[in-house]
Amino acid sequence: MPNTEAASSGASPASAAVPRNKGALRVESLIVLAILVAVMAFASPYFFTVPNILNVVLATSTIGILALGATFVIGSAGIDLSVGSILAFAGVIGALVASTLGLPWWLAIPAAVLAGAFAGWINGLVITYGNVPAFVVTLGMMGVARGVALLITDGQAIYGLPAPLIWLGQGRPFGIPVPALVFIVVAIILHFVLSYTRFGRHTLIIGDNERGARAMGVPVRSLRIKIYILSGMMAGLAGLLTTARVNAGDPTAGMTFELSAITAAIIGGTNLFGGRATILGTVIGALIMGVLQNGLNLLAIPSFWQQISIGVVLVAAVWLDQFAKRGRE
Amino acid sequence: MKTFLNSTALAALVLGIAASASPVAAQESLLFGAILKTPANPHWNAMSQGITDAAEEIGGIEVVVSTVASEGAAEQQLNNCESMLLREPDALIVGAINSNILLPCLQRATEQGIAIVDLDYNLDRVIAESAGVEVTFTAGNDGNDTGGVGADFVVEQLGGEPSGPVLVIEGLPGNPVGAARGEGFRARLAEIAPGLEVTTLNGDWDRGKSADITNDTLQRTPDLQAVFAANDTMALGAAEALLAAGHDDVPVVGVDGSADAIESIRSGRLTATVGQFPYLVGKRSVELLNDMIRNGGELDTYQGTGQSVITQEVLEAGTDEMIQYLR
Repeated sequence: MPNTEAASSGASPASAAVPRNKGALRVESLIVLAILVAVMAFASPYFFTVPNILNVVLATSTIGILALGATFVIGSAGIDLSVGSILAFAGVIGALVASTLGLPWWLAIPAAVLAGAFAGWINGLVITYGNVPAFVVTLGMMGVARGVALLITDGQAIYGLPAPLIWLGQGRPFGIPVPALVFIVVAIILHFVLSYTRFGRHTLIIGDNERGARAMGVPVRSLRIKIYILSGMMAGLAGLLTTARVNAGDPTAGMTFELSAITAAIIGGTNLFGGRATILGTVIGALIMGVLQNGLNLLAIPSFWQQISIGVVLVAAVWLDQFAKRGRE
Repeated sequence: MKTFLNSTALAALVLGIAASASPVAAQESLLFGAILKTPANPHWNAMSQGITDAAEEIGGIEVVVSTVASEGAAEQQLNNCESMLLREPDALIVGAINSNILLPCLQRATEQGIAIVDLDYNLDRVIAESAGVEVTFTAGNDGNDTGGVGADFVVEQLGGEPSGPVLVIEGLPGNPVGAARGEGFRARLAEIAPGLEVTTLNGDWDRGKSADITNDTLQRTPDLQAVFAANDTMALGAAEALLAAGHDDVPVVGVDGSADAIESIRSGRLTATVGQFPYLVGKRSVELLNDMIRNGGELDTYQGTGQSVITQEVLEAGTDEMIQYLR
């Protein structure tokens, strides 16, 4: 919950920086991941091998990249329900540029990322200047971005991309899948942005106490717009990588991914009401989901169980957190 | 204005009833209502094209096509069906999202003597009959047969007496079409190649998810022999994952013959697809209906529309006459 204490005591105390523990990693999620890895390693001899671990990171990369954006959005007490649709929209734009229009393949990269950033910018503008709740705006964008993706492709996937673009999704330099590499690099960059830059600190401050932040001179509006642009860019990047990976710009890709991204961020310890978030936590949250899926696939357990187990882990992780918090108090 | 609209609607309704009550003369125009799934799925797009093309070719048939936004929009489909009934059609051509949602609407259609065509085995006959729905005929191919055709092809590809792991990717859990295709594949495989060991997972009709499943399966069984997926979208996801992992020798077989699958087969990425020719399913449905309504007579309640395995060779040779129905 937003820090009501600071809000009620007026403007001046809000100038205090975000308390240190709010940037700290929640240990509980790390424990959950460790237990899961141990269980899976015990249950399947194929689990704890280097190729399979790379494989888990590859399978996690799409949701993971979306969840990195969600960490900033939720950390600022916002929500972005449109990232799954933006992923499809940006992926289609990328495929369109490189395949249908026959432009140089590398143009697909800025095209997809900018398409995502553009959708995020619209989200941010309407939320801040239109004063419409983020839930509503991004719910609307979820429909609009998906609809536009279907419209420009007439509902059909754009199949067949230039080889260098496919490499972005399928290549394995030094044995590491490119999407996994991109996920790791972007996570490291955003970790520094969230922890060590003014943008990152302000993100958590407005999530903790927007009025106070405004009083201390944080440019709340432009900050929020930037946060939604970042979220859109991550969706665009994820869209490009998925498109490259399956060699097709699919307008139906990424259905319900927004919920998976939010789940990953929350399992990783991001406070749903803002003010607390870490990138490392989100990466762990996304890996927990990836390990569950991978392990159950390795054991050939039907996908019903994947949904059940992810639901249980989500609630358990937050419950464990509450439990630990009570213990600290 | 309002009363005017109401009265014209009423007049249309009365006229409609009068028209359908009298036997259909050759020169009278027929009205077929198509209740399909989402046009975002190329399969239904082709189906819809076949339906409208056949109506145009034959002449004297008006077709109204209704579609829904997504694969899961069952309630929207029921609404489409209800409003279609108001038009008093001579026949409903139905691609039901699931086997029960449309039953109340179809039951009233049965009462009104409207012919009902089930596309692709989406309606369960036993459930339909118990709900008072009379299916005139089912057009398309039985998923069990389709799976069998896929199994025959896989075994032929592997040659000799194959052994080792095979991955089957079914659709959404609980979907009867995906399940029947998987079941047919497994049954036939057990018969002709008992040495092959089958693992079945759900790809939820999704490209990315199927790529993940394939990757995970490769970890467990790096000696994977073949992949059979219940549709092309999933097969394409599996094929790309195998290529990325350097297993380009593993044959991947899909079902449908969608445009992107054909392109992928041409470029040597996807091995084959069991073509369902949805265009032909739609076309045949209209032809059979037209014939039955205008000339009377009984029809077999299952109308197979044919399927064939499409490979790079088949495409290059161009001798399989079914290829003309690819869309």
